[in-house]
Amino acid sequence: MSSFRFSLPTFRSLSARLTFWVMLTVMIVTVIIALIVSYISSSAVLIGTKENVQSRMEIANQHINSVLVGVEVAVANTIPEVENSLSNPDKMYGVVRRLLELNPNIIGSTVAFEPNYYPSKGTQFSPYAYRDIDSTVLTKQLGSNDYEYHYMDWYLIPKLLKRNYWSEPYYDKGGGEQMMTTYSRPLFDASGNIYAIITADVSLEWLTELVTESDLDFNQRVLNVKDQDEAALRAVIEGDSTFFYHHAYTYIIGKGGTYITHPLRDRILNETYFIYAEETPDTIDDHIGYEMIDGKSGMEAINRDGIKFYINYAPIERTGWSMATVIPAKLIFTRSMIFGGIVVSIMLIGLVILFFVCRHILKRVTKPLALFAKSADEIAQGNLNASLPQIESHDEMKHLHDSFAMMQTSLMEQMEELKHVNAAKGRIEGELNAAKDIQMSMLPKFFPAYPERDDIDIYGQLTSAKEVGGDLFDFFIRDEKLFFCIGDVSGKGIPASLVMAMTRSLFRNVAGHESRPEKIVSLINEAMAEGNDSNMFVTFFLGVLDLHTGQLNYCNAGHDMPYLVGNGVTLLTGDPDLPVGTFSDNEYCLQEYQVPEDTLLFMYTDGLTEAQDGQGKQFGEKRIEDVLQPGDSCKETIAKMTEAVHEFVGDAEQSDDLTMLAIHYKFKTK
Amino acid sequence: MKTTIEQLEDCTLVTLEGELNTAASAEVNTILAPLIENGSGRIVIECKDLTYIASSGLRILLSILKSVKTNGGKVTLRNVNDNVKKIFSLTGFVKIFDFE
Repeated sequence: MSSFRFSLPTFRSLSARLTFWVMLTVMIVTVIIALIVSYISSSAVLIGTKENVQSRMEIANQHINSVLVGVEVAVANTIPEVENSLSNPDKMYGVVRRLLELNPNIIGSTVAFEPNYYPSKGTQFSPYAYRDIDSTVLTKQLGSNDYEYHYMDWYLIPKLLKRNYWSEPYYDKGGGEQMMTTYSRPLFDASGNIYAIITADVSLEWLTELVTESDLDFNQRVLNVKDQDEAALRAVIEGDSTFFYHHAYTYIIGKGGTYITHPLRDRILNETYFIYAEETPDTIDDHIGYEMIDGKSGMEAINRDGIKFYINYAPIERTGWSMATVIPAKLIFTRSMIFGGIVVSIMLIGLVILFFVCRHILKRVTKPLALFAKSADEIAQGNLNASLPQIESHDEMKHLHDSFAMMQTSLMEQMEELKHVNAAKGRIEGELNAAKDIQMSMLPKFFPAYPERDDIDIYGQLTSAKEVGGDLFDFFIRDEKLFFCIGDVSGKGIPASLVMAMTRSLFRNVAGHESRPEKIVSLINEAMAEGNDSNMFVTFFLGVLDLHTGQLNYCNAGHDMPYLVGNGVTLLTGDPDLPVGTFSDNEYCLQEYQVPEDTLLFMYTDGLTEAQDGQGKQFGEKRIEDVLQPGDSCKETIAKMTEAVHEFVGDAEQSDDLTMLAIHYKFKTK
Repeated sequence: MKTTIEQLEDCTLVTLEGELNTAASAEVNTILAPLIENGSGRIVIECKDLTYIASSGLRILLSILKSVKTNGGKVTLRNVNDNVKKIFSLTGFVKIFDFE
């Protein structure tokens, strides 16, 4: 069986999630409140019912008492009459008759004398008055051969106890067929001996009536048990065995536990409480029975057939009986459950209303968020003027709106600025390109430069790096002398290119009338060092080759020495002077060399030696020497060198201008 | 490329470490600006960890030298390695600086 994991539902919308949590919290609180309320109301209802029942029992009690007391008083009042009539025994009939006539409650009365008190009357003399079916009062003599009254409880017990005695209820066999109890009072003569017992019989039928009426009223008014009418209720009482579970009922038990009244009439005087109590497995009801007989009062809960009942009991003191009312617990709590049900329903309705209100409000409040998201999307697409949702409130949403608007404005401003900057950059780049073009056009471009001459060959190449650079080379022939130079301005960019342009013009200018290399360089230096606040200098090699003699006069202002490729590969020697532009008063020296025929001069700038591969290694002089080959033409030499550098550098970016100038002195010009 | 200036009791000590190529020269120029503007007194440049110097680097040193010459003082390059010394030789700068 796969395990079950409980996970909270995920919501796609903020308002749904908030609504869920609010509702969940409110529901939990509601449930707790409902539970507390129902508990309190149950307790209250239980107490209320108990008090109601007890006051009812109190009323019944008092009613019973008043009847019984009335009888006692009536009997007491008759005693003087009896004593007055002692001399005339037949008058006793009238006495007892009058007692009945005056007291409707008394249904029978006798003055039963001790045996042979009146010798003429015999052993049994007991004038007895009773009521006929139509309530007329009749009299007769009670004692007979079948009815030895001296041995009856109503006679014997008071006689032995020598005090007034209420008998246990019984069904009358001699008189009417009713349930009765008899009050017996012994009569004492002057010497304190009992000579007779006077009795009064009281019907207890009204007792059952009383209790039944009270039950009916209780069921209908307090417990709200709905029955069509009294007759139906009584029929139910008579025959329905499930009666007990749907109604409250009262019964009275006597001193020994015998039922005196009970809804099931069969039980009356025939069965005791304990018969039923012993049937049940628990002992609570036994305990209740003993309490009742002891004359105690109280309320207990019992369980019969799985159903809970409450028993309220209280004594009827005068007689030693006890009354109990049994109420099914369900009936008591019906009222509180109805009450609770109403409360819960109201709360549920409240919850539903809350749900809709909550959802509506939250939806309305969070709607701007979705709109903001949409605006943001639009702005991201490029429409900086996208409209923002209108916010009327002055809360966090308004804050968000204002921040958004500010961001929008700021973005638009930045975009504008960016446009300007880009435009400016474009212009600058355009100008830079134009500058580069001008620079490149200053260099000799057309090769072979002197196709009509076969005594020399020249080839020069400048591969510029990304930025405009400061490398230069130049040459021209004047008076059968080849003036040539190669140089490298310190630095890069526009400044370097300006200096380069200046240097080249100066070279052309000065070398146009001055042939001594050291002088040319000196003049160039003077011109450049002036106003050279930025201390930009140019490493410069200038040579003047006499084409007839092969004599090379040169001056090296801090530049790399040229290679001589002829009989092997050697370096032109010399003592370098300072670069041009360092000190205006610097002295420059003339150096001389006799160039043999068929020699190739290879000149370069440090862009060649310092070309770096991906690991930062430099091309270096050694590799140059490796590539230089006697016999290669100028063009070939430079082409090979170029390829070697490219191979060496690989994918790394070219950081500096790569400038090479090769001059092949083939033979002396005739 | 790392550049530091220290004002010691008897001199200003500049320490150059790494490759002073064209790319690094802009930063070095900024750091050594006070010496370029107004260099004076005894300035010692420690070059034992300086592996390479390009022409833009030479330019910076030249500026410092010129400034010192105007205000009075001396520039000494200390512990220059062979590679860098060669560059100084080729460009003739070896003649204008003092080495130790």
